[in-house]
Amino acid sequence: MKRNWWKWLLGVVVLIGISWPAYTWSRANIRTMKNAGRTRMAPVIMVPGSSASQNRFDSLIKELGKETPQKHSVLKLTVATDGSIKYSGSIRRNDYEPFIVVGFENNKDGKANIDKQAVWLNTAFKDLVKTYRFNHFRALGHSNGGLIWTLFLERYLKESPKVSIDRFMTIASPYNMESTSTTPSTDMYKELYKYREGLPNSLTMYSIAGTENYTSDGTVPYNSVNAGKYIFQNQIKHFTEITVTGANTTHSDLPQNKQIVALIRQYLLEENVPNKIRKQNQRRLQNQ
Amino acid sequence: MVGRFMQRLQRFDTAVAQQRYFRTIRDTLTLLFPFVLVGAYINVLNQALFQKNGFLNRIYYLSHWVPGFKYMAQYTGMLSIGVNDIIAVIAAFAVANFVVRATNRDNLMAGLTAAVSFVMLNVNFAIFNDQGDNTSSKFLEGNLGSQGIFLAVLVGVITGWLFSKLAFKPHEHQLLETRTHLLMRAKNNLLPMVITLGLFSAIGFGVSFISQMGLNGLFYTAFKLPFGKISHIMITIFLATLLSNFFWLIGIIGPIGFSGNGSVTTVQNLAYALQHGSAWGAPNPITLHTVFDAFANVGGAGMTLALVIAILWKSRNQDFRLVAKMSWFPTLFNFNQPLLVGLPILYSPLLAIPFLLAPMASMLITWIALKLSWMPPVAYPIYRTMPGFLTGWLGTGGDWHALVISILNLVVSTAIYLPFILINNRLTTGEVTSDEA
Repeated sequence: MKRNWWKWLLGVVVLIGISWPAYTWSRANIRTMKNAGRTRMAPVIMVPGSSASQNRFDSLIKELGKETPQKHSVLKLTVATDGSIKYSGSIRRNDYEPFIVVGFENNKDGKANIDKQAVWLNTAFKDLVKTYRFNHFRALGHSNGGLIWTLFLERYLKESPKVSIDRFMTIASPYNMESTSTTPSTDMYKELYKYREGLPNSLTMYSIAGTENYTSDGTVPYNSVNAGKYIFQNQIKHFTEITVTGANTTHSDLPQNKQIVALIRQYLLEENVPNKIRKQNQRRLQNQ
Repeated sequence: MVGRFMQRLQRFDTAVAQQRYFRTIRDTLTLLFPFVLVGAYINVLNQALFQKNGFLNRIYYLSHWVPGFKYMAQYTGMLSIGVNDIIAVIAAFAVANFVVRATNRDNLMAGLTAAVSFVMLNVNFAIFNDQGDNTSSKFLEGNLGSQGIFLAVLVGVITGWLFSKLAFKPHEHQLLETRTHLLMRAKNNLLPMVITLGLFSAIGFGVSFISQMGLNGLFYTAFKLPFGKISHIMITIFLATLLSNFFWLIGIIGPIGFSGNGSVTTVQNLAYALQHGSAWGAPNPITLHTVFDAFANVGGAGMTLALVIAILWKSRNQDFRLVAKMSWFPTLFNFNQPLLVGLPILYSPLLAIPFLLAPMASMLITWIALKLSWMPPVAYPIYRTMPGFLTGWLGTGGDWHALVISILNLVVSTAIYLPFILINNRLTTGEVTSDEA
């Protein structure tokens, strides 16, 4: 035992040498976290179309993951009809641009359902803001998901006054439902048009249409997507409509279509994309 | 009763140790030990010292005053990639080598074949996509590190078996190799070599259609399945930890491991604690994070810091003492890989029992303390490299009760490990020959 006393002493010194700075650091850390108040986080929130679950964007996220330099973590929410929320997945620490997919237990088509889904989106959105304390975000909607987002932006975003939207992209969203008419007149369109003044003025928005023939992408008529411009014109800062046609432009293939993935990277995520993709995207814009 | 059980366990452990493939695996692990040990010290440097979230960096603010911090981070990162991230390739080589040596066939050839076969299972098929840019790697490096040990052992055993069966002529070691003899070796081993490579390349190719991350990725997806939904109910957390620690024992390192600060419940806890100025009454007191990460992971999975204490205190097995003396430092920062392969804990029936029991006991104590509201849950961020016995204290924002619970957990875990160390003492003093052949 005699020869061991200095080992014990050394141990105690090391223990204190670690514990005390650790304690002071942890107090200081908690203080800075409290004062910082907000995170650098700006999530990308995605809403799938009707009859699609919270897993709708898996292949798109995989496509994006292959290309993008930073890995995005994925959080999925399912909102039940009573407004309760189920979470799956998680947001990695230090991931400032996570993907959040909001799905609905009742994901049926039709105006009445879309109205409800916009309310549920608001419930989920408020919960997300409360938990992750971000104050700006990007939004992506496929098909009816774009309509849900539009309604949300028009009517409910005001309820989170501190939060603003950076960019908004819809993929094949039927602003005039299934109607092929060039003069939009469905109830859904009328509602979106009625509340259009609620849209945030500073919004930059892209509406992507897919076509596999003269009139539609197989599900959504081109004219219905095109009707979106009447809602957004004169209300927001930038509105751009892009038509994608080529391989894999069937309605349900659109989110993982390579061209659209490239458009998402450049316009929604504002990534520093390689010149090759930039040129390809520009050519498409010029050909409009 | 207990005495009889202990005796039986002792005999079982000896019997297993004499089993051929088991012995081979244990020999391999011991051979890996120096590499893993160096790797663990590198990990301490890289992850605890020179990384933003490293514990020592955080508490001593190293990045503010150490010159060239960024370069040191890169350099130690390089060391870590170079040593830790290819450990499984070495394991595949060593297992096949030891299996074949026992049957008197060409062990060097078998080892090399196993290493190549293992790498073949981990080719990144994404590079064959026409979209693939040049930045993605040709191999799935993630599978070549300690995560791949289980698969590497499997590949090594199969390769070794194939060589033992298919190489007809026994191998003669020569002190001076001649060209003729080397060519003879090539001729004698061509059949098993081609068959082994053919087998594993076919498997690797087949798997690439199912899984982007190779066979190992498939394994991990399968082994992660039971952990998809870990609710707040204590029993599921218990079972998940038990299963996860069992996977550790067979070389599948950490399907759930350290769950980190990212999950929704944890963020909610943090938000609550920041708003209210204390962790008391946080919305999710019992989660994998608050119970397992913070209190049952002291020194890494299996409460291995307790094992180090038990060995240094009571063990008379010189091998154990040597390994423990060399490994206690990384274990402080929760890197227990040297112990896993050095003692070894992996594939050891004797140490498996306390390895599974100690975290269970710790979680039970923690759970009771939380249920009785004797301490607040861990709500503030904790880091992987935080010394385990301080995590509870720091994660609750410096609550002394949590520190007491952590120390209690450590004491109880040491008590759980101790009887098994005593059995091992009897093994080493009683029958030296059978253990150390």
